[in-house]
Amino acid sequence: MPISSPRKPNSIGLRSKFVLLVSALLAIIFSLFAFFLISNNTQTLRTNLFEEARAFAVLATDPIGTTFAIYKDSGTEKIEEEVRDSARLNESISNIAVIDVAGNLLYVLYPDQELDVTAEEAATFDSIYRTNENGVLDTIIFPYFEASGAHRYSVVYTVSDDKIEETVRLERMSSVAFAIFALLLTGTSIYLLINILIIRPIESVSEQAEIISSGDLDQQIMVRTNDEIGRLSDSVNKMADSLKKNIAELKEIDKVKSEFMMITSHNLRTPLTIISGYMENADRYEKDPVMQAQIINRISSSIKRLEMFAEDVLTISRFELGEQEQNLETIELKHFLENITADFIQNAATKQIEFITDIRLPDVAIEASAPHIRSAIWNLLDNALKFTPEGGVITVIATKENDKAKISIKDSGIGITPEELPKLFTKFHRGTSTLTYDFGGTGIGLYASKMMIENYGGTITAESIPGEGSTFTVALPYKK
Amino acid sequence: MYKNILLVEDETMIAEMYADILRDEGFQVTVVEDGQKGLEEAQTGKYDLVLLDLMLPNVTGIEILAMLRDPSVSPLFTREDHHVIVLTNLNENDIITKEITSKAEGYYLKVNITPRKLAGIIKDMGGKGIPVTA
Repeated sequence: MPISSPRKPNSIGLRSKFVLLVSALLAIIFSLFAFFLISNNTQTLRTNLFEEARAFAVLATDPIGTTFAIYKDSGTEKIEEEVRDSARLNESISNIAVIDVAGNLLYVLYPDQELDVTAEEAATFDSIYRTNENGVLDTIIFPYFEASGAHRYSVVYTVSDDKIEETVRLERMSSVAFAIFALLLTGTSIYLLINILIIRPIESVSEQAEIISSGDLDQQIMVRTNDEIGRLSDSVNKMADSLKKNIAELKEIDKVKSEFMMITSHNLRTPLTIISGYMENADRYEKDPVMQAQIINRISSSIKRLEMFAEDVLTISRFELGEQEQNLETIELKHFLENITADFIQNAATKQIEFITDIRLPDVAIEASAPHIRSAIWNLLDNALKFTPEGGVITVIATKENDKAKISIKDSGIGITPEELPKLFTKFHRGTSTLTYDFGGTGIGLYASKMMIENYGGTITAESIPGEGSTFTVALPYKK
Repeated sequence: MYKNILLVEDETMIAEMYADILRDEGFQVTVVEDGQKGLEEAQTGKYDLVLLDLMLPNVTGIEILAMLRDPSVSPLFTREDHHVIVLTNLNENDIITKEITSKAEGYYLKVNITPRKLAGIIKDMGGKGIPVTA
């Protein structure tokens, strides 16, 4: 499958969303915080202003009143000096005036500033704190009492909130500056943290998952965090592994299928080749009865081979589907084995192979399907004959051992390597190349034999010394 | 016209079946049942035609063919005077089929080639080595 280069992940989108979210949250938090701080501070400043102005009025009224009373008829110089000295003590006091109880202005420090005091306010014995429309103190009218207790004058203080406004303005500016600075600092820190802890791992998972999705199942996501992202990458890795395994299994199944077709056609064609070849030349041996008998034997053994192969294939497919054999019969083993071995005596002789049989099972019978047991033993004998060279020996020994009938087939053939031995009874064991010529060369014979023998409670085993030969042993429980 | 034929075939019945008829037709036929022995025998250059099976003990037919067509390995088995007909019952994949047809002069499925048909093919080729595929 062609592997396309991975698309650049849309990380800007994710990042922008995070930045926007974090900025919005921080802006809201800082605005609320700054608003609260500024209003709280303004309130405090106003309270302080009020307290300071009140204290000032309490302290300054008596000296100003006394000075005015003494010097009112000898010019304003002395009064002005006293008032100025007093005014210097509090920056919030922008003007100071002295009025009589009728509200008439007797002295004012800064005449250009407007002074608005009613007669009622001027006559009162209590001090008056007047606020403007914003609730901020702007005028204090403080009564002056002479030593005798007479109230003839009041001192009017004009309070300026310029200082408060200035302070609040500075406070607001510094709060905004601080908020912006904190916003940037916090925003950057959060962004960097989120980038390292979340965005980068997600990007990495996304990029590598894309490579995997494009078909490269060997790609592994290298995010090993112990969180949801780590678990996500583990899951994607596991998914890729399992896909890879499934694909490999499917390929293996496909390979096995084509091998099966190949082996099946080969195993059908070989006996057919012999049958059609000898049939074509049957007339050639007309005058030679010995040869004719041999030809007939070869044709019939090829037909037998076809029959056995068909039986193997059918049995495998039936057993693999889980079907059980219904047609059980009692098989008298001695006679049964002698019949099978008889088929091989002639073929062994043709190949100049000594064929020895020693069947000592006079009264032993088993319960099984005769075609199955025949096919299993036949496969073993056929293999022995195939792999034993000219001049070799094949020995078939059948004995009663404990509660089992034991049939061993020993050949002096090429043998089986220790590596090949465990694979012998597996389906289509033929080595790596289809042309490899090994003991399982017929493909399904030994697999089928094992299935058939085991189906009746028996076992089949193989021992071998490469170069010296092999021994296959079948053990079947006999009927008591 | 071919004279000396080497038949490398491990299936005794098939080997004898082909050998009998070819001898009847006047060819000298030597049968070898093992891959390694078959290769060594062919390398002597004594045979002008080798009938080669693919599934063989010890050395496979494909390996034998490759070695016979490698002048450094088999100098006496020349392309001009020493020909090969592959006889098999295996269906091979395209790669192996291409390999066989490029190195052998003939390639047949045994099940389609009775001994008389084989004799006819060998006579028709007449030592000219016209490539024929199955």
